[in-house]
Amino acid sequence: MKKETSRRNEAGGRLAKKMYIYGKTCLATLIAAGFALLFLMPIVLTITNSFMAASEISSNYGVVFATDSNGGKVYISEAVNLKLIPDMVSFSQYKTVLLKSPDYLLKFWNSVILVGPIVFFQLLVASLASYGFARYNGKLRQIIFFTYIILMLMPYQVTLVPNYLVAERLKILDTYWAIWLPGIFSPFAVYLLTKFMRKIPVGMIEAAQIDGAGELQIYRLICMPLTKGALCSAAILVFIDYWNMVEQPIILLGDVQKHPLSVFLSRINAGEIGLAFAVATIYMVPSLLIFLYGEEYLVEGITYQGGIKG
Amino acid sequence: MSENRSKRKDIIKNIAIVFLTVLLILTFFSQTIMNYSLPQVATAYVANDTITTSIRGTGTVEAADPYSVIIGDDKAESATTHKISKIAVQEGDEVEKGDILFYLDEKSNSAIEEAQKAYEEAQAAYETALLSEGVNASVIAQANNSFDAEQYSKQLIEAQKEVDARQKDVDDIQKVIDAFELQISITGSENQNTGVVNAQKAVNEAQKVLAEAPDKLNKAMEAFAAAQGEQQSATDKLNAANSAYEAAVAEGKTEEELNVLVGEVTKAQTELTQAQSKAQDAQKKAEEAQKVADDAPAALEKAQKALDSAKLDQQNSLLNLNQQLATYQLNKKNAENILAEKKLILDTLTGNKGAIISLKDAKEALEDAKKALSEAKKEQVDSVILADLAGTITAIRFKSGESVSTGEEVMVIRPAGQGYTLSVPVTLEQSRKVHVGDGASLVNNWWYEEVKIVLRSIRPDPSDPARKRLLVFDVEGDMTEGQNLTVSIGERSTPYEMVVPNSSVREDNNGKFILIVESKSSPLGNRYVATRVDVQVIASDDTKSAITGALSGWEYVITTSTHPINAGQLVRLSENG
Repeated sequence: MKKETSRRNEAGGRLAKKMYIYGKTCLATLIAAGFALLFLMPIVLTITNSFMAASEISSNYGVVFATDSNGGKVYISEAVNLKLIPDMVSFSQYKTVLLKSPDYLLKFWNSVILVGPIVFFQLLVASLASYGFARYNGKLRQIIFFTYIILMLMPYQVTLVPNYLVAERLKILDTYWAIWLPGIFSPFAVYLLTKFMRKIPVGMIEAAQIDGAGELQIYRLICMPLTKGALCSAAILVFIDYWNMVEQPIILLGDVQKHPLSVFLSRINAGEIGLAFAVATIYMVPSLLIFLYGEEYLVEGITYQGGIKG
Repeated sequence: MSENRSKRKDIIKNIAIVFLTVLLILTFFSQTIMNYSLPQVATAYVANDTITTSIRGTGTVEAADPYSVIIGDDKAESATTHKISKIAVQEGDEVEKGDILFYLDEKSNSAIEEAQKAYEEAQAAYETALLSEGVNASVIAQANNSFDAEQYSKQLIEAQKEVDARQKDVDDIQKVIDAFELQISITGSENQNTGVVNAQKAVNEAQKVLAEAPDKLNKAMEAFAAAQGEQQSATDKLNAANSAYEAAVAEGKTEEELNVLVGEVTKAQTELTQAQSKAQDAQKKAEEAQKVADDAPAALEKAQKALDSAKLDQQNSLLNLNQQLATYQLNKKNAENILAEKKLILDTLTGNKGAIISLKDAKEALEDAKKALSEAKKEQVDSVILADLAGTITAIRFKSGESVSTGEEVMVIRPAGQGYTLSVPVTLEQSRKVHVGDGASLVNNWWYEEVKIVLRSIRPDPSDPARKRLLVFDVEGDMTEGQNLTVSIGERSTPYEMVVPNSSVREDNNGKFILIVESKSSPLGNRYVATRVDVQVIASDDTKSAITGALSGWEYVITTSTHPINAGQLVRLSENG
């Protein structure tokens, strides 16, 4: 009898505990879902509005922007309507962007031209620098690394003017080099990769040295494969960072033809809202694909940084 | 798991490759695809050329110098109406000089009889006014001259003001005269003349003093004697008291008795002092009474003299006042005379006013009637209207039984032997390009042969005299009045630096402009943009226009397009260039 009672009590306690946990989980899920919805709302709005016709766009958003040059109204409603579902699904915006406006496609490739070399060469330079920081000790190393951290913490706006002056002195203003060079030698990837490099066991490197491997071979054959995850996460973060750059092209590239698509998106005016939605949707795709491709490396890289072993 | 991961990665990789490939292909071909949607335009060079300024216009052929048939004198001040009883001709008839055109109703001449009657009545009224009461030579003169009622009214007001002013003068003088008379009465009355009255009072007073002085002196002397007696008594009493004291002392009386005696001495001294004082006062009064008695006669004499002097002054004053009074009375008389004259003038003016106005009105009525009669005589028209010249009846404006006013056009005759005219409306600028004597040619002339058209005159267009002109041409040839003809005049060519086709010149609220094609290079090839250039058209003909603007010359200007285009729009050149 006593055993049964205690068993029943135990079962009841476990059930209550389960219910409690379940309730907590539901609540946490709801809160998280709410926040997720909030953050997803602009993206969903952009994608769904890209399938609206120009007339529907102007009737919903026309009041936000200025009227036409003759002072006439170009909107119908008196308030902004945030509509998620278009009245009529139309591909006219995509048609205009992809078939009738080579300018936007050229700007897309400008973005690719600007970001591709930055990502590739920044990783190259950063991996070499992080190898140096990881392998060699000394006070000078600490001072230089500390300087890297300070530079990394500075916002773009602080270094923009010195970059401009240097670019002008080097006569690379209004060329892609004015964007590439500061991007390639950015300290962020150095910091990220240095942490990974330091985790490589010293014994492995010493064993390679004993086998007669040189520094370049150690770097190329031992360190690089082991820091693949860090390299991917660095590549993703650097790509996302430079894919959305706006200030550098505006300041350093005078020729509008060389501006990336992010600059166009930052300067939306009244007649191009529908196009802006379509362009933004297309512009999102590379970032999304790269993230999806390297998601696990990114998570791994962040958790590794936090010191949590998965 | 790793297999799933690698599969997923492969899928994402493939999607990325496809996406980029599609974008790349579209980038290369987008320009080509886009061009198919662009409006195609035809262009022409902006180049040197000439503008042949020929002016075209359309007008209606009319008879040259048509003759208008009117009734009476169109310059008469007032129009009279006449009834047309019968029209003797039709449109198109040829008439000779003196032929009957139409008949007027005979009753139309009654106006003269009425005017004559009105004139006679006005004459009778004027004569009656001349002979009415109150009309004299002055009234007639004023009525005959230019009578100004306002001026006359002003004269009346002025005359009344004069009368009032002179009346005031008379009243003021009268007031002064009254004041003088009052003054004279006061000055002449001894009881009211202040100087005399005071002097007389003084004399009376002096006489009274003289009369009363001896009595007063006697009384004062008696009082003085009495006071002296009292003083003497008091002295005797004091001496007695002193003697008694001395005797008492000599006798060796007691102190108490001595004190009593001393008290009596003291008392006697006090009485003596009082008596002395009283005597002094009495003496003083007696001396004063004496003085008064001595001075009384002299004072009376002096007062008498003053009285005489006051009386003399009174007489002098009276004399002066009377003289002044006489002067003012004379002034008053003069003022009254002037007042009477002014009143007479005022009465005359007042009396004449009515007569002048009546006579003036009658005279004006007579003159009006006379004028009306003369005008009626002028407007007298014949009951039969004849043609003044030979020609063809081209228009009849009225019918039998209708009324027509003097000066109104009843019918139009085209004189025999005259040609045709053609009036073409043009703008002021166009009229400056042609000259009188220039020949013109018919446009689309298929029917008329040997037609000669010469510009005879240029005059303002009545519909818009400031901005339009009428070119009046002489037309010779086989024509019919009322036909519409289109003529072309002026064949001068002028060279200009920038000439474009007319179809390339556009206009909006901001003025005239052209759209030129500007080429912009891009990585995918050249693009053509329609750019707006504001221009001014300085000359034009049927096909071309000469322009000025921010052009260097030799630009490609868009003449036509497959779709409407705006400045800044991308365009596609036509296959023919």
